[in-house]
Amino acid sequence: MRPQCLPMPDPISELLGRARRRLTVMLAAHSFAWVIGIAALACGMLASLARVVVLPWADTTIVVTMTVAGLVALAIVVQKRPSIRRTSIEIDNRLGGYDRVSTAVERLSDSPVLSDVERTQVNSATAWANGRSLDGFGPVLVTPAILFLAALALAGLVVLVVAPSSADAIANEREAMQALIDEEADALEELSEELPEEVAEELRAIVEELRAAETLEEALAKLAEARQTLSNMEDPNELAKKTALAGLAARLAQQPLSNGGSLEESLAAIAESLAGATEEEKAALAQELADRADDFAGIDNQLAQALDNASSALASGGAPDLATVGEAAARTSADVSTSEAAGAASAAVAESQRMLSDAAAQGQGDGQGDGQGEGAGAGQGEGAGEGQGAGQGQGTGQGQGAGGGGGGQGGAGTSPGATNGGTGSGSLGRGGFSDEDPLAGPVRGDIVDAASVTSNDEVRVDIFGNLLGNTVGSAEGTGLANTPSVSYQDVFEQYRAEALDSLGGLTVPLSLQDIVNSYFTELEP
Amino acid sequence: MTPEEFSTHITDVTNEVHKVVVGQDELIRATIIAVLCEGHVLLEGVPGLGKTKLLATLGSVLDVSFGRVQFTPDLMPADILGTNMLSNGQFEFHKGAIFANLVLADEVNRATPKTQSALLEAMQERHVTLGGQTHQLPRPFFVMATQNPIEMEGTYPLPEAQLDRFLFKVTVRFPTNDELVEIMKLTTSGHEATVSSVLDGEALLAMGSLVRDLPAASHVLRYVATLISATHPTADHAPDLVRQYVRFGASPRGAQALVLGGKAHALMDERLNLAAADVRAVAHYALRHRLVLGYEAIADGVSADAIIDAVLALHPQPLAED
Repeated sequence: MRPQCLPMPDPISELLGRARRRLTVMLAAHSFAWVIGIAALACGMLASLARVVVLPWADTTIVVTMTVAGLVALAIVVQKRPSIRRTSIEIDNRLGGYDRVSTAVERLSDSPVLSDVERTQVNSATAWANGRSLDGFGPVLVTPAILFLAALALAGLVVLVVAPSSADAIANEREAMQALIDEEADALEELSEELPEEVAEELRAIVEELRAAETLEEALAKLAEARQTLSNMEDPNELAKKTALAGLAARLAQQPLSNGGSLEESLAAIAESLAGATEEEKAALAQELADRADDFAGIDNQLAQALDNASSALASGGAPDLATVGEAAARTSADVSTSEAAGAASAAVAESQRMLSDAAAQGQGDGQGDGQGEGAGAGQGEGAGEGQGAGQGQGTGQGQGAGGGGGGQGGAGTSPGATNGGTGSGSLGRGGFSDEDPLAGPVRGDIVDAASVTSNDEVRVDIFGNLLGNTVGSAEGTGLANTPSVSYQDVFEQYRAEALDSLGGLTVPLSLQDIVNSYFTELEP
Repeated sequence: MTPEEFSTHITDVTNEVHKVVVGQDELIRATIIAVLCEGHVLLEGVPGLGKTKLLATLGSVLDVSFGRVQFTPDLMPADILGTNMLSNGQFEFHKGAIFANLVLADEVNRATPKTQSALLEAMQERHVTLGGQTHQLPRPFFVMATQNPIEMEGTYPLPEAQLDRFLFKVTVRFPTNDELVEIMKLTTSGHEATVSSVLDGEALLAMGSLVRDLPAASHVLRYVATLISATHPTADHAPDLVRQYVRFGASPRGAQALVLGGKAHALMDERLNLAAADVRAVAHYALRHRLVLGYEAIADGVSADAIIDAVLALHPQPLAED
């Protein structure tokens, strides 16, 4: 059983208290100097590395390491805080006590009763401790050199962390790029909610892949891939179908048997009033259905067949199956909607692609030049090519962007001038991903009446370069001030022949082919 | 015996001895410490340094019985221990020179090992057994031996086991010039110094008891243990010098000598506890004859004192471990 401790004389107790506090402070200074110093040195090396190599985790690691180092130093102080016995030994060792205090403390702690000699020894130690100064105890900062080095390492670490570096800029750029990617992903996701499920599902998958992209280049690659996928979902005959459907609806609405409403309403009205129709009305309707069947021939055979069957039935005096016509038309309309949605999604993806490309180009440095190109400008009679073709009739051209906020080289194109009697030429502006939005030109599917453009106007011509009708370049120019190198009259016939030949090989509705024909008729010299 | 009385007695004894012995403070102090511990002392020094004079003077200062034996090769154990002699038809034990409180064994290394062994056995056992009878030696009992380190011919160096029985081995240094002058003045004039007895055997035992009662803190005892084990070449905390030159380190008797001698040293400094400084102060006396050095040490001229210095340098003070 541990003997009961004897009371410690006040002078010894007071000296022990002071010495113990001093030792604790010394231990804390020592521990913090070593642990924080070593941690600061290691973190300093990491921070130095992070200034030349982008390490996104560096700052977090440094903060965590320094925090852990502080906690470790604190734990050391708590764990190794000197005991009373140890403090008494330190007093004797440091103040030349010849083990007086430690012997007295041990006797008082361990012996229930003191012998005469021990009591005398305790009294001697008490007298020695009374009012004893700690001046000879040694400096609080036992290792000033270590403390200085630790402070130096800490200061260096702070400077390395706080001072801006090129790696920080790169990291910030990457963060901004990631934010941009997320922003574009959000926009695409929002768009997906408005699209048909088939396209929306595809777009959501694209969004997921876009969010998973770690670099801008990877995001751009995914967007390019997604754009191709969406393009594949587009119906190449979409415009033709849409036009033919519009024509079908308009023509049926003009039928006497129709009520002048939508296609479905017209078909329903015709079906109801067919029994009371005259032979002339039936014949006219049969002819109209046959004509419209021709419109759909090659682009939607099912609907064309349904129209043809209905026409044949009417012509033979039978009852036309207008319900089948309606169903086929509804399906075609749905196909067109899906294709349009895919187109819209593709356009949105393209917009995202452009945004990210601009950002990437800006990241590489602004103003790599506006690029230049040359080519025969499209005179104002040319309008904009569109649709499925490669801008037939308006000359050919191509351009490819080279980023950099406008760098690019333009394409070349020639075309007959419309009213200035010569082939215009103009400098080609920017192509590809330019500062100006190349997609802001004629909306795909719109029909531009090039003949309405006056000769003195500066025009902009968007050149469509592939079968999908995607814009790959644009040109701006004025045809007036140019000296024609080829006479308009000399090339007109050639151009008209080529245009008409092209029309023959394409699935352009007949009603639209008429527009092309009338165009060349009006231009005929 | 109070510490104050202890201090007074020490002062008296020292002053009396200094009437005859010039200088040699360290030698006198070490010898008195050994006396206080009731331990045996081996004085080693070249002839003429006052070894015998010191011990003889000490015998006079202390009011105890004093016996002196001049060790020679023909000295027999019976000359030291005593013998049974036939007297009036009965064997009667005649005590030898060892039956005294303070025995001076002069030039102990000149006797044969058999005689040395008889003396050293009695030193350890503090009694003599002869003819089946045991005869207790008086108390206090001290043997103070001298030996000459330079004359090896016709001598029998004490074996390590017997050296271990001496509490201290004190090396007698050559006096300084001033001391030599004083010695000449003192010994070449008509005046002969006389000393008086200032301390009897009873007081000496009381002082020895006070020495043993002196408290020693556990960390100081651990320090002693550290020093002793550091003299062993296989110890982890032994200095390189020990590993290189020491064959066997100090025995537990060495630890006892450090503690007891240290306590006496503390009391002589008027302190009432054993301190590490006291242990260090007596370390050379207590350990130098307890280290068995290898032939490399002799070849390289490395002394036991140098090795003890290395041990003390490696362990300068007790560790303040919790």
